[in-house]
Amino acid sequence: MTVQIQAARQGERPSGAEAAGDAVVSFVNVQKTYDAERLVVRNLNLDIRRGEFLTMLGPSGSGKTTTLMMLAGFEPATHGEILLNGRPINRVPPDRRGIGMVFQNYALFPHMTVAENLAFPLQVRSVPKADIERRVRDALAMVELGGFGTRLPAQLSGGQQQRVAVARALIFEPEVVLMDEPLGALDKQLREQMQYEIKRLHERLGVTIVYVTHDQSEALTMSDRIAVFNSGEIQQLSTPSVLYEQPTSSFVAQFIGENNRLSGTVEQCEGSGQCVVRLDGGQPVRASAVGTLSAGQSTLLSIRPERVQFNPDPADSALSILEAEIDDLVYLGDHIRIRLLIPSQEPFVVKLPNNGSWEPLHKGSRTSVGWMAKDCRALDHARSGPAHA
Amino acid sequence: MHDASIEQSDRVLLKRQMAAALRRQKVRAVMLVAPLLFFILATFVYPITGMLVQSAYTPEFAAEMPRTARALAGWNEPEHLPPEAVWEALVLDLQESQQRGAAGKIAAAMNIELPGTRSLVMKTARKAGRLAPPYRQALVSTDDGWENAEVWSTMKRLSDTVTARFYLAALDHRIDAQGRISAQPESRQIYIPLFLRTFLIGAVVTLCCLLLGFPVAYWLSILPMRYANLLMILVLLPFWTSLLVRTTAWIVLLQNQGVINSLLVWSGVISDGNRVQLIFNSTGTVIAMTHILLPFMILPLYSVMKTVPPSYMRAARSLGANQFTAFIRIYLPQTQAGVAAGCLLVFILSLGYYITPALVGGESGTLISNMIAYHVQKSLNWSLAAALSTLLLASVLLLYWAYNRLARADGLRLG
Repeated sequence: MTVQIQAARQGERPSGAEAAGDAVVSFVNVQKTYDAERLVVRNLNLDIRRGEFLTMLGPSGSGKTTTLMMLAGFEPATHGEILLNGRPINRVPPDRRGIGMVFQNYALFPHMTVAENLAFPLQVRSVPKADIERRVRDALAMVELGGFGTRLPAQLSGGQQQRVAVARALIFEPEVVLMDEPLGALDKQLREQMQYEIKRLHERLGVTIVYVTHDQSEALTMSDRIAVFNSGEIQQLSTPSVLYEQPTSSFVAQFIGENNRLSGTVEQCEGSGQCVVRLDGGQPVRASAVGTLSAGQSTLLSIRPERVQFNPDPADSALSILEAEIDDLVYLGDHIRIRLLIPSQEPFVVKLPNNGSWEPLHKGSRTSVGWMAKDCRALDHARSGPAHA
Repeated sequence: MHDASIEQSDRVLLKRQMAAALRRQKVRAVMLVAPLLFFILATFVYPITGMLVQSAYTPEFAAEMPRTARALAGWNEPEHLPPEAVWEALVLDLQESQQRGAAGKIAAAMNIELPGTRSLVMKTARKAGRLAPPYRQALVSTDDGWENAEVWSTMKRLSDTVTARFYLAALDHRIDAQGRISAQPESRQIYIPLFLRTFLIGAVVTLCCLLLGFPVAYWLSILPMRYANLLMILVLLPFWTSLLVRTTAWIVLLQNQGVINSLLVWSGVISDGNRVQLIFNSTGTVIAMTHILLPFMILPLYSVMKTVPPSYMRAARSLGANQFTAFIRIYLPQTQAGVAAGCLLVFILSLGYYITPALVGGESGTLISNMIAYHVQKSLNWSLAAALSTLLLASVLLLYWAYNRLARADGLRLG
């Protein structure tokens, strides 16, 4: 797995041509503002590879949907270029872009039957009638809705509507399919099933999918790569595992999965990529440095709860160990979630597998936590949290 | 296993409790609705029913002239004059009605049916007290108009308490002395051409409203809320101006020496001698009514368009349809309910429009409602006015029924 941090860095690139390569879609220095005061998308550079499943993940208002709308052609970019197969498409209307799209509320035409909905993109392309019939039948079979062709969308369940919407976006064989939070309206079980089905379709058809969601678990499950958006910028663009295990910013660490944050000051950097950080409470701990850190700089440490050792062996020199007080115990069946208080830090969370060892613990008792330096990442403080330009 | 069903006795109790609860609800509902219901019954249903009844039920003549009505019932030879008994009954009735001061009413009713008989009846009624048998001779010597058999058959017709003659008149048909129904000669047909004109102008006004209102409603529906509200006020502004003021404004604009004509002359489109007649004809009626009824088209259109999510158009575009195709095939069908409701509303309203055509319609722009008003206010032929009103009401109901039948298939019913 390669780390794709480079692609997400925000520097101006001289031209989009060189970026084309294997990219089916390229954003080159794209900006978007709605009110000429605030940039919703600031200087976006992104290459989407042919055949990949790329997810744009971020909180609402982070610019991910706007980016999708610019790609679909419903919103013009106020600066920069969007390339499709190396050709700029800024001035191409949406119907000439040949990009399929699945909408949040499905946008199935309510006055047309399922089959008519599916036939619509073929009819406007003047595909011969017999071909249309066959392809509609195939598409319905593909999403396992054979026999539902004569129904109206309102007569279908949410999951079935969703499948029709996916089939409709795929039926004209577009190179790129955009999906704007397509599973948002479904309940949890159905959502998981649909995640699987969309993923399966993606693998079978080899189509490029650009997927927008604010649900990080959905993004982790489905994507080849995830672009984490915040405040109109891509914070990090990586595979799910890199994103989870090696977040480059506090925002990404916080947004994806559960995360503990400790604030401190860099005391000393070592050549091995490790550094010693003095926490705001005064304790020195070891962490692996991300990016350029120098002594005296303030930093945020990021540690995943599952990488924290609870009550570690105090003699283990490989561990950084902190004293803590138990604030709360939450019983979750297979594991126990323990909230700890560490002086002058945010609450610290540990997950303890339910092997019975938690029973003597109670609120207020003193304990300690420890971690390996490689699991604790010291992140640049300036880039933590939402960026302010 | 626990049995979820309830014991029989419990079920009876439950039913009683529910009925009691529902009764309280119903009483409250009735109390809330009662004042308005009473108001509508007293000011709308009662007078309208009375009006409709009057179009077919005319007991006045029989009540005023009881002997004559009874005597004429036995007379069935319209070609000949009736026997002496009828003449006698007439004189006695006229004597009485003269004393009661009701002769004028009878004369007016007669005159509507057979023009020119008013003076005959009035003159005879004045002298009725001095007439002596044989009455036939006495009457003929008073006025030889009584020798006309048509006068008698008219009276026979008038003494029917239930009659279709007003409906026939409203459809340009008449009953002649022999009781045969025939169409009026072409030159005397008034109401059917007027009904047709009313429908035609209504259709033209509806079409104009749709053409002008649709783009506005669409624009309103896609504007951000604050601008949309502002524009909506502009749309509603005509509502808040007096109808009379608006109509008068149109007169100012459209008359021969008005703004439009002056502009056209000034710009050289027409010469001074050829000023366009824009008002006091059907053109004026269409223009003024379109203006007045436009909000009734825009509002239902807007309310429907507001509910059409923009994602449908976007979906259509992303699927490869150009703007035009997407509009025709995706957007338009979804506004169908608003188009239908707006058209129905405007058309029905324009069928009954009165003030505007009366003010700006001139000769060729008057509608059936103006004729109804004429019969109510001027000719005092209320029964004919009632018959015309009933026909108008029936055509509206028919239209509404047809609309609902068409709409039922598409789930667009209004009620």
